[in-house]
Amino acid sequence: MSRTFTSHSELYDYLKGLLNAEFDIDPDTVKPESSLVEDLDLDSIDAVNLLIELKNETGKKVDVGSFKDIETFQDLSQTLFAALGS
Amino acid sequence: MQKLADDSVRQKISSCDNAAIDISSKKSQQSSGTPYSLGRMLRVAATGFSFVVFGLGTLLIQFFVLPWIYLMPRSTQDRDYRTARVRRARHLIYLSARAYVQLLRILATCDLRYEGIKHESNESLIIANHPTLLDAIFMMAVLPQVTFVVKAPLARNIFTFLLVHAADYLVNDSEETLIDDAAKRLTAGESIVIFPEATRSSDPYRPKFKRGAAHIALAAKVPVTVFCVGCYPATLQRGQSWYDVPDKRSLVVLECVEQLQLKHWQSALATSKADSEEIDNMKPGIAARKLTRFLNERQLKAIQQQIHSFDISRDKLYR
Repeated sequence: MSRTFTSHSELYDYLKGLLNAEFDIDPDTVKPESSLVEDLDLDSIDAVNLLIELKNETGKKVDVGSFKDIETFQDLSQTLFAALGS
Repeated sequence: MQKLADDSVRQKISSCDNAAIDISSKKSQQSSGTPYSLGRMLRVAATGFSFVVFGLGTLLIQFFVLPWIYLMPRSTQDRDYRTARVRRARHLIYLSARAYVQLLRILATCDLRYEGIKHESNESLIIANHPTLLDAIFMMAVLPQVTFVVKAPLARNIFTFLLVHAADYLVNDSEETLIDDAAKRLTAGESIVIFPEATRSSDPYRPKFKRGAAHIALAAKVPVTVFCVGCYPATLQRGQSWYDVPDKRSLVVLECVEQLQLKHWQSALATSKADSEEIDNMKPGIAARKLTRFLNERQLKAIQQQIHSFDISRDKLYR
């Protein structure tokens, strides 16, 4: 059963929950301007784990290369919505 | 009494905060024409000479000694030709590193002390902080048959690429494949040395670990051995020029601090009691974060203890 995200805010909230479930990151500390590396302390292995979870959820594969130029959580959710959204 | 000792160490460490701020101003004083003392000028010359010896030495070893290792037949103790070549190449690196350390001692560029080092090793992930450029060489001089995780550029550098290949060191060109490769080797019985910071420390007394080492330990489920490298005052740090040597000769201490058995570090991750099933069910991202925090704290504690046991005064911590 593949999930489809119909709005950016739906994916945004889902990602916050995913960061909490996968990496124990407090959702209250996640802001649109949060830096993925400096504030959320994410690394390349986390990126791969995130994409695996997203693939399990949506059935769609996102290339890890799309993370290359992403700096903030807002950028992340927008890039992923463009790749996964309906 | 112990509390007083801890307080004194904490005071020394906390005083580093102010000292750290002073570093840039001291550097600017040096570059603005502060005259070098004779001892310091001699140490600059000795350091330069040791770098030349390193460069020439590695070229000579790679192009004139290593080929003989590739040509030698395997001995009865070796499983196959590859095992023989790797064992001999690692032994060659060990002997060369020992000779280089002796040269550094003779040139008096630093005082070097080894503490608690045992040559025999069972399969273990060996972690260490990385304050100076020469830490790996100091470790190679005491750990003869272990696998080192090396930065990708060293596998392409003309001074090191053949040695890295012959000794079959693990090249860190992708974190994901590194974890799998390292875990396979550990479970096969090898010991692996990794600097969890991945590069030299920004602050030599406050290393900040990345999570690669923790992911490897979690995947392989092996003991973790903690080494502590101390350099007082710090020299050849990240971003520092080779000729920017401190006023005083540095004391370098390489210490094998402790071996954390599997049950020991697993109990640090479990929320209630040491339960390997609980750790297996933990999300890898969460387990790696917890283990990284735990190992980083052990490393910081080891540095504090070393500062205390060698009675390093504040003026010897920073320059």
